Amino acid sequence: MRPHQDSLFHIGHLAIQMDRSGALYLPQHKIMIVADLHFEKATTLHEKRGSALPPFDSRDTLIRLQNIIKKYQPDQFICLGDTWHDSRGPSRMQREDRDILRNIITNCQTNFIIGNHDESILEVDGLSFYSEIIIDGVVFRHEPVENENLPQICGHLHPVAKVKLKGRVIRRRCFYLSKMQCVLPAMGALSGGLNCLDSIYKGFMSTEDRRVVILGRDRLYNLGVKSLLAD
Amino acid sequence: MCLTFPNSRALLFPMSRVQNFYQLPELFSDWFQRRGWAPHPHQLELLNNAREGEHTLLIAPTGAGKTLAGFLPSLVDLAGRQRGLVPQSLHTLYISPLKALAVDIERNLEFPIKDIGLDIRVETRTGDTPQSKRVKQVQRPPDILLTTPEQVSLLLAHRDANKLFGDLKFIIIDELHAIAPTKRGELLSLALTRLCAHAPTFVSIGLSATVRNKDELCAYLVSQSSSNKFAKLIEVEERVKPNIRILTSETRLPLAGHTAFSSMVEIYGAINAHKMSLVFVNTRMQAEFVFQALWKINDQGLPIALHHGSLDREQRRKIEAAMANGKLRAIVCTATLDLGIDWGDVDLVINVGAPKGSSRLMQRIGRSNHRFDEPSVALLVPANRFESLECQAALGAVADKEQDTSALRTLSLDVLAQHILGIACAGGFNADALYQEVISAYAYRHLDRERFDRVLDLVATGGYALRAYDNFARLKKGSDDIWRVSHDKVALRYRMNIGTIIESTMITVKFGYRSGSGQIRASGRKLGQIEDYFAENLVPGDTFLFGGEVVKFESFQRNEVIVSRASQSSSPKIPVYSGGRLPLSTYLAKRVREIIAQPKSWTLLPLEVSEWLSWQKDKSILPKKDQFLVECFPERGKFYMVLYPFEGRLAHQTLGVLLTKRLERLDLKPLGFVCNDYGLAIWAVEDMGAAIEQNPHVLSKLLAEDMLGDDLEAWLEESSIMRRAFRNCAIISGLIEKQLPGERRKTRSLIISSDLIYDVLRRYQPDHVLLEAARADAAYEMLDLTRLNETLKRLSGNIIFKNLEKLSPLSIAMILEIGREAVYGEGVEALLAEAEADYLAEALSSFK
Repeated sequence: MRPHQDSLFHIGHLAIQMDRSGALYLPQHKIMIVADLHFEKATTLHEKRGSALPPFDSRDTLIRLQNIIKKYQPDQFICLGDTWHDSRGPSRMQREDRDILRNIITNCQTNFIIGNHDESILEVDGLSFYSEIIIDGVVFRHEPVENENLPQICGHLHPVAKVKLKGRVIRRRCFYLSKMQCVLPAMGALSGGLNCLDSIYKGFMSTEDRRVVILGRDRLYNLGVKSLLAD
Repeated sequence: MCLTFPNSRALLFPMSRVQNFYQLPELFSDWFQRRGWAPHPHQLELLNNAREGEHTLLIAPTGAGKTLAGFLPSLVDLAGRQRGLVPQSLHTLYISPLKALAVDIERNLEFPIKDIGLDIRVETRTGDTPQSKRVKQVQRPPDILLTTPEQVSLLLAHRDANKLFGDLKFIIIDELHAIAPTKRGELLSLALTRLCAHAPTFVSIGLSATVRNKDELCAYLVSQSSSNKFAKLIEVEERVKPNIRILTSETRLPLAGHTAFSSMVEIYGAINAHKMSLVFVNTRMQAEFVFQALWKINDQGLPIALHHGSLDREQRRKIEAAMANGKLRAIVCTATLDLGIDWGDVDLVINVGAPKGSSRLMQRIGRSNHRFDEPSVALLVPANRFESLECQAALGAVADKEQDTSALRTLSLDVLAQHILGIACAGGFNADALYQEVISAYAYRHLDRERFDRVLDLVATGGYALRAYDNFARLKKGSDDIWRVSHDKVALRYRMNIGTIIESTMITVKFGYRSGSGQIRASGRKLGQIEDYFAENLVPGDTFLFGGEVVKFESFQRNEVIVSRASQSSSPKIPVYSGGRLPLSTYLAKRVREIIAQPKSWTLLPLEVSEWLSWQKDKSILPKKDQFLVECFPERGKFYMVLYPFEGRLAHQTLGVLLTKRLERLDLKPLGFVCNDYGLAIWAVEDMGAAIEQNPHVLSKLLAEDMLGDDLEAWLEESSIMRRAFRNCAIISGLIEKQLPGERRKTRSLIISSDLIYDVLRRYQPDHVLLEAARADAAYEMLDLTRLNETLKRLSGNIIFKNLEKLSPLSIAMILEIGREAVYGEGVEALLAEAEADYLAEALSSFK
């Protein structure tokens, strides 16, 4: 097993850089990848259930996006599904937020992948949605597929890692990776998380080289699966 | 606080002693005479007040016939009403903080009603009451309804509230001292204003144990917009001193722990020597433990039962009935039996663990010998050496009749939000009128209109300045200026979520049986409830202690935990309940400090306790009366700093926030802190003791009184104290829902943690009304900065520091204290970095 000193890893020949914001960057292609933005989650929940959570989640998530773009200056962007929390999200988004998003899309070629939350959205600003994208033999899709022979990079599950260190329980968003798979953490401001030890991951994660990379305050932390706790 | 008619001498006063200037109706005086009893003067005085329409607060010790006094005006009035009319409204509303108390009172009311031959219908309504019965209660109200504050608010949110309460004559609030200082008390005080709008002429009667703040309770009962702002006060003095002993055990007291394991034989002996004992413990976990331990040595098979709030209702009722019938010798119980319940001839109260303040102790002791003129008998059982000091201090406090009840809570905006939504559910309100009504509540008399409007906005559209939820607002104002709920679903959700006590999600535990195919199916016998997170960590085959039985976890089925009976397991787990984790103040700090500082007084303590104090003197320092001891030592891979200011929990909590901030700035990476009334313990990644030894200025910098430049506000906003306060406010106000109708337990990925909501809200609308509510809540847990400054000034000249190689005898109780506060700073990052280094080293070695 190769130790992982930094945030760069390879799947096949594809070099992948992890960012502490929860985004991935492909330096060979200048492509940025983010997952599960869940824009307009608060307003969706308001329409569906009448709750009144702070309607600032889209703005917060957009500012996170802007910061990553500023940092990496990518040529292209891939949103790995569940970009909107529901299909009416784009129409509910406030004008200022739409402007920020449009600005991002204009300056950087954006590719939307379909997620389960936004599967009935046909297009946004003239951009259509893909079910999956393949780069250098690696599949990028929203929901991981079992019995997949190709390496896959996906979102959907919102992985979080829980550890107990010197009596202190820490539960944080993380990348969950193995030799053939990488699950991105959710980037949406109001997105919850699913523990990496949940049985659902067992269906598709290979055991070889499995680890989590926890999002820290200023950097990422690599940890083995052995040290994780269930919820 | 009971009726205890049969066999009770509480009511037996020789007729000659009664000053009979208050007239009882013949029916009642005949009844008293027939029974050979006479009413107490305070019972007659209260009756007289009520007849004149005067609101009254009755403060009396247990056994003084307080409950009969409360009900007498109502019974007399009901006896005199015209026969044959079917009432459309409740006549009397009795409100108690405990479900069990309401049930107990129903049982005790039956006796005089039957014996006098009155035609009065009494019913109970609690969270346990089946839906069908609740519907009937509204359609055909009983004369007297016995209920809890939450149920009153629910009834007020009913569309028929005006009919139901239109003819209300009396409101009796029992155990007012326990309700009023809490958020439930605020909810109830708002409910009272609404009841007053429905039935302006009702008379309110408060029943209370002895308290420090009588005036506040008198004002609580009365509308603050009326001319007379105080209820009349009737006070009955305690006649005899209670007889309290501290248990001495053959086995030496342990240094730490709360199980009282070392004293079980003596506790059993005491139970055996008395007719009926109540064994009070502080947490449900302790209750399970003590119950199990007593049965292990119960050679004589004494009927000893267990009673706590997580047990199933049926089981609790069975135990309560058995106790009332005198079939039990002892009950191990938590606070569910803490307040005035009387189910039998209790002649001994055993208090296991710290007594938690003298007022609370006196109320517990009052449970024994409900005879006004005989001393109560109580036994204090310390579970560790520190608790032994507390018990000794409590004896002194009780002897001096020291009262330590807390001041009333006021102006909680989350509770107001809940109330406003409830009133809207009942059919709507005019904002101006509702504001006037709200400020007539004692708890809200200082509420300004601007705040009221902001809370109204919170309820209606979320209270967001930049973007309101107008389209699907919860409340809408009609052209008639009346605010109404926009949808029936809003009302339904309100009914599901009401309440001001925040509890973790509870899961039902049921017995299963093995079907023909070998699968486990739910059989139906409910054991009770355990907390969500305890259940989630169970693996099939795990055994745990519940309701005094060892059970084996089989599976989850339809959101229920299915268990089977297990053969005795060597080490069953014990469910932890967050209810039991709440830190409690003991208010005994000053007395404990005096005992420690005066070795002469140690002769009163068990030998191992005075040895332990001498040991502290040898290994570290025993602080003198004015000294402020600070110890540092490493323990289990962390570095501790333990401080002993003896300034009370509030001061220590605030000090914890300040010191962790300063340690963070000094790059010592604090991880968390915990405090009690005597001191606080902070732990960190870096060696604080070494840092102080290298540079003595570090300590004086840490404890400097000048707080300019500490940026404490920002640090506090990040703290676990604020995050917890926000979560509570968000739930009470209805921002986060406890449960939705028919919704299954969700997967974790769908749950939005209140922390995420808090962070977003703080970033985009720092002046949101819920953040204001959370800050006000957090302030209840802390001192304001001026007072903290005074504390630091007082301490600064007397600091003595000791850097130790390992923990000191005195520190043990401190670092094991419950209610830890996490620090969100560099310390956690350092832990993660260490863990990563370990992982990489391991990966590297396997790579070689």
